[in-house]
Amino acid sequence: MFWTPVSPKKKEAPEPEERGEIANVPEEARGGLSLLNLLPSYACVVSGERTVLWANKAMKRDMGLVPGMRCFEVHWLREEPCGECPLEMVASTGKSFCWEQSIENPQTGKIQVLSQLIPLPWGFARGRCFLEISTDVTLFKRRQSQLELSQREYKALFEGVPCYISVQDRDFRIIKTNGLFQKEFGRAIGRKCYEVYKGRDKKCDPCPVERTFVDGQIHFSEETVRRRSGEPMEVVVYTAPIKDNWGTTYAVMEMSTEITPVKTLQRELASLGQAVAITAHSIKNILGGLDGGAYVVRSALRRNDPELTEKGLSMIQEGVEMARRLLQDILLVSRHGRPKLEDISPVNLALEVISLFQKRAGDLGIELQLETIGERNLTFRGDHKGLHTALANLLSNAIDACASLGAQGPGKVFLRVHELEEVVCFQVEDNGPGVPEEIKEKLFREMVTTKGNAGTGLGLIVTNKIVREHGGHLRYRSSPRGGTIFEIMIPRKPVFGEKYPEQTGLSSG
Amino acid sequence: MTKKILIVDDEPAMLTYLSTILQDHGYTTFCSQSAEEAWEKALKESPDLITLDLLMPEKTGIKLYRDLRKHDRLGAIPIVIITGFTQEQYPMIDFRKFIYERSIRGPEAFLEKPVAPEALLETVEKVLGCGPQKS
Repeated sequence: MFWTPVSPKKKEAPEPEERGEIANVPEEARGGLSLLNLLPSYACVVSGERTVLWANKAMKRDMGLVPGMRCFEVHWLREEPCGECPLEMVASTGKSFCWEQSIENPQTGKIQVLSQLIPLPWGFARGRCFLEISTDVTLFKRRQSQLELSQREYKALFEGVPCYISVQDRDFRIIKTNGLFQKEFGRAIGRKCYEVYKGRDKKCDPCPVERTFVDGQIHFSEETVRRRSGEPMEVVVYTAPIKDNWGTTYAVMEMSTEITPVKTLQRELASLGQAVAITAHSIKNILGGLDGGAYVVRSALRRNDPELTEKGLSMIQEGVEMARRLLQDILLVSRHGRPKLEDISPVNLALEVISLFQKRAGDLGIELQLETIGERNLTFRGDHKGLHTALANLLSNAIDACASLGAQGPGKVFLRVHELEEVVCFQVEDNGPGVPEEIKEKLFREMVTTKGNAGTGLGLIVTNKIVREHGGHLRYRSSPRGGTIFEIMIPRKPVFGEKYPEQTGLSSG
Repeated sequence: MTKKILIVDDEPAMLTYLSTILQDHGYTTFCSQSAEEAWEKALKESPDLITLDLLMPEKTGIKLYRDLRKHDRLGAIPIVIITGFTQEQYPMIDFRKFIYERSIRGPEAFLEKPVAPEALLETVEKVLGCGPQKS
């Protein structure tokens, strides 16, 4: 049986549903109330005593109304009016009121509704009455809280991942960054990506962000960027498109993960492999020399030739000496840990090293000269022993190069100390034959000896390692005078702390 | 008449070693520490065979090789390349190809350092097409 609107006098005499309801309502409002049956919301008319006088179809269907129920019984399954009921207020102000409440739906349980209580311009016998329209916003509310949750999750992810994240527009302008990004690269909002990351004034080429804008796909690249402190950082960069509802990429999210330690390790492994190969080659050379020496000695003894015996013995002696040098170099290459930094005077260091070679150069008729440019002799921080070895290696190479000039001499070797504002530069120049043209490129990259049995081939690796540990560069180029110039550049202040800085490799130029 | 061999290598120890082996087996040897000197000696002595190190300062062994091959008289002298370059060490440089490519005759033999006495003798005998020399 359906609930029928209340008419106090005819409570026991239900009338046909539609007619009965409408009958309790003044003529002028009937049409309006019928329309409310079409609403997908709950609508009811309540009296000042909160008795439900009329309810639309949706309300009757979902709430299971019975005649004469009071609204709080319907909505709340309560026995008394709700504490926060706005009815009195609406009655006294005569203005409608909108609020959110949760009501009991016998079929689906508690639901969230947005209600509006409107004072009606007409009344019943018992006084004024009110129209309450309630729209089910449960789903909307659920979606809203889901949205809030996912926003929180997104924010946690954005801030929590161990990546430097920035969101960029088509002009590579950074429009959003996470906290980690800001910490490492400073405030970047509004600035260009390439400016913040690399201190450049135009975009990088190729640029993964640009590619993502073009094809809407994920791209990645490896880059060397600069921290706020100036220290370099190697990163792998992923770029992902952020698309609007129509599928157009309007921004790109760039995520960078630091891989500096991995890269350092990779380089160390590579150079270790290289050193092992070179060591094997050196040992082969040494054994060849020892074998040869032994052969010559045996032959000389047979011939009873003291001079040849002497030659054979010195070949053996040379082999032993070379093994000793190789061992020293291996120990230096495999040395771990940081350089021991102390104050070094560049000119004094050069003098010390050059004095070691005066005699050898003199014996070979090679001119050995120290030149200083800048003449300030300001100290810098460095590992004295290491740099001593590095310079001695270069000088020794230069003297060997000149020695092979023979009659074409005289050989000349210059050790230059060039003091600049930021760096100390040591140059070793010889007028020797230079590295043979045919093998220049390859030979140098491999860093193998051109001296046959004389060198271990590790000398330049050792030198390079020492220089790198100082955050410096070792470079090589042909001298305008026909020989070769090796150049060591050491930053005055260890810019990169005492970490292993970026690999500079050797480049001919 | 004993065969004359010109040994070209920038390392004195290598010269001593190679010449001792060859002398022990009845060859007459001449040693050169530079390509320039080797050129002079080749012209003067007309050796029956030349052993050549490819990598030497100033004028490299490769340049000397080409000059020898192009020379009317010296062009016929067989050459054995003896070098520290090995293929495994320099995979990117194929020295044999490097020489062959240039419309000149390739070396008669190729030896890698360190050279064992037996390998040297065997190669030299083969190239000269004769048995061991009597000392």
